[in-house]
Amino acid sequence: MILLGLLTCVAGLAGLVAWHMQRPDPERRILSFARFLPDPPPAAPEAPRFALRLPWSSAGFWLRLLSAGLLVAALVFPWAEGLRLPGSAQVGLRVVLDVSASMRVASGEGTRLDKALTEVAALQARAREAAAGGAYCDELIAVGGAARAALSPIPDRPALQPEAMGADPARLVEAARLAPGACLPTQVVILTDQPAPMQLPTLDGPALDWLQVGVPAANLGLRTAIWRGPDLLGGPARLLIEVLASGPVEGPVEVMLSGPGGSQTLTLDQARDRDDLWRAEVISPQPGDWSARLSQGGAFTGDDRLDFTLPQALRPGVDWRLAAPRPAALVQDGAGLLVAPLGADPTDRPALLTYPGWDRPGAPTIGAFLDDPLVAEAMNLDLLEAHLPAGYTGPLPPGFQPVLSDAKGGVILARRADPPGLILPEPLAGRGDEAATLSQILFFSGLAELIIPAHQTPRQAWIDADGAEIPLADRESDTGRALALRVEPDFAPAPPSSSAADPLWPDIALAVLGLLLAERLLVLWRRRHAL
Amino acid sequence: MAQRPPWIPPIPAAALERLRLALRRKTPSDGLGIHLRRKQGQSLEFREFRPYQMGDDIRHIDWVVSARRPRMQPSDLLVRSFEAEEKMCLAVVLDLRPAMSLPNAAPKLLVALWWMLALVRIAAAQGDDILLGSIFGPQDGCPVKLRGQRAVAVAEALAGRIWQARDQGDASATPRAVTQALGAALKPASAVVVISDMLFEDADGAVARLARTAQAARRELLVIELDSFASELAQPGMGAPLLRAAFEGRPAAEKAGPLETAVQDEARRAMQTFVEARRKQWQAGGLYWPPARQLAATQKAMAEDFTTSFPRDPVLRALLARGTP
Repeated sequence: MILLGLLTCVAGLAGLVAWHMQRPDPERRILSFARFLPDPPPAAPEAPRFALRLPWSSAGFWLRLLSAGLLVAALVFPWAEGLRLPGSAQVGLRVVLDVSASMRVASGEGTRLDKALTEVAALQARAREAAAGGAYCDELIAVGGAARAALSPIPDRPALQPEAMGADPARLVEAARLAPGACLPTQVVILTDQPAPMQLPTLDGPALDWLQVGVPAANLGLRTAIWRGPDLLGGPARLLIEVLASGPVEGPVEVMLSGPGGSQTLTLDQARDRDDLWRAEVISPQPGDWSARLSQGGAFTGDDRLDFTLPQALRPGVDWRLAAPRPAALVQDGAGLLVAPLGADPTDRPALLTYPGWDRPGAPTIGAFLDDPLVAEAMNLDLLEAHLPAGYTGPLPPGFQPVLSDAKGGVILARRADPPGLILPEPLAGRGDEAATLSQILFFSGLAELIIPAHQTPRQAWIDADGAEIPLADRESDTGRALALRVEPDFAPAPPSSSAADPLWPDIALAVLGLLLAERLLVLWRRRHAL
Repeated sequence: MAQRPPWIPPIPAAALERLRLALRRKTPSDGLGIHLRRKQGQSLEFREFRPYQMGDDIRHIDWVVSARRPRMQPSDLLVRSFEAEEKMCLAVVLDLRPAMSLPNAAPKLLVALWWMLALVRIAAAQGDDILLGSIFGPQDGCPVKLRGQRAVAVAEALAGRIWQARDQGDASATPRAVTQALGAALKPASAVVVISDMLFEDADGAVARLARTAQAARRELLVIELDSFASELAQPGMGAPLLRAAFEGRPAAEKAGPLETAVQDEARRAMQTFVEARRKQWQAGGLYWPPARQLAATQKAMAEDFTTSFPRDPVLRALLARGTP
């Protein structure tokens, strides 16, 4: 085929040279003095059609030669591209291999990583077969906590071990999108025990497949430990242990909890809102270092032990200046939260300020209000409107913004962001009606918000059987997931490369047109200067 | 800015007007020319016979008619009276053979149209009557009479039509001239300007008869001869072998041949002989035929030549002077 192309080019060149060597046809001319011209001699010999004069000095010849060459190139390039693609496609295989902690879970005779490495070898074989002897390259990127350097080409049996770390599946996609190195990938395969995302991302160029390895293996994993300090009414601190189940759960879920006060075995209860979540609560846990161990942790052992540290439960200190009695859970220390009638100077510390509003008739309806946690969670607006207190009509202290107002514009509830502060009606004491109850709910909800911190997750770490910490081990707990339907990678010919997607022939054709224009302009210029 | 049509003379109208005034002041009067005859206040157009009165020019007495009167008294003498003619009549006759469209790069017809329009503009400015006619063209026998400033616009439109139709004729056929209408339209004391390469065949003598008519009745015939021999030889490709096409009755050459110098010289001599014979044939009173104007090989060069030579052209000076040089 190449010989045929070369012969065609040589023949074209020879034809172009011969065309330039031929004598032009005599031009038919009309002369106004033609009647006075003598007849040509009857025996005048005809000039040969070709003149042995090579056109090397002809600029027009070189312009036409260049045009013809570019035209041939414009024709040959797409033809050559089309010839090369079907038979010997370029195949570049990139394997992104998950080497996170869960890949050490047993799967058949080996681990999930062993299974994945077997898959890698199979993928290599199939990719080589698809290349059909053409260009082929492959690379492997192992991803644990982060992507490692690519192995290219992929060795026969890569010496890889699972990392003692949980990994976000998003890291796998990031590795799949890494810029190509020595091997330009045309097919990217992610090998992991994690399920594929609902919407598999697309890559810029190569196809992406997500292959899940490892048979489902039931697992129980310590999810978290949550500590909550004492409440305002003197309730004790609490410790909440959560266990996440993946796959079927056989028997009770038990956790051996060891702490400063000794050890105890907790039997967890299934959460009401989730089937795969089990919880146990410990009342008044002592501050200090704790360790929770699952007695039957299942397939993945990295999440079977959770060490954490609980803080000291302290009684909050307040600067209580109200006439109403102070809750026993609060300590009057003159510092911390200022609880006082509106008018005190609250500028430099958290403050809960009250005004007398419940004992005065308010507006008939609620006015404007904002989406505020206190409004949404602590109050029933219908009940509030039925017993609406009078709003505060004076100027608000600096930094406070109205949250809830009545129809007359009086401010019922105002909030300051920093330092935290609330303005609300002073609670009614000594009464048992709805208005008094409502006033106390609103007041103590605001007080609790300013004093009691939200649920705290203490410093915690997952420890494996060897005593090593496994960060983010909770992300590896889902080993009992069902395997997704397997879609084998299609090592079809690669999509066109960037150069093929942006073909060259239009540029060549444009250049040819430019050359032809130059050639015509040259002819015109010569005619003009011949006069 | 609109591009000027090619048939419009390359000399601006204002320049033509200045040229007319300057020539009228400077050109010497050395004889009875066309204008002078008209300025006598009389014409050759007969009007009526009237009785002789004292003071009448005795040369205007028609003795034959007077002799037919019963009694021969001085009061019975009849004198001829003529129409008073105060305006000149300028007749411009174009040769519209296909040969006038040669060479293609610089047609002779273009110079002819420039001459025609320039003369029309000058004559119109003087208030002269204008007669435009052609020989060998589609306007044969249909002369156009013009007068006044509108004459310029009409003449330019006519020139445009002639220019657009220049390639429609059959160059291979022998052209035939029909000149009766044009001859009949010529007024006495007209100046007839023929613009041609003068290489046409006149086998039936039609053009010669027109020439004689143009020289009779105190008219003058002025010939503007356009010679494109050199410019045609200077066209591109003339050095290569040529295949002569059929032209004006001469068949096409069967073989191509170079137009060698000897052939050119021979053709040149034949042309000169032909034109000289025509000059002798037309030689009579009232003929003014200065040497031929050699045309340039490109339209641009032709325009430059025309701009330079037109003000000095002897035919123009003869028309504007009080007598022919």
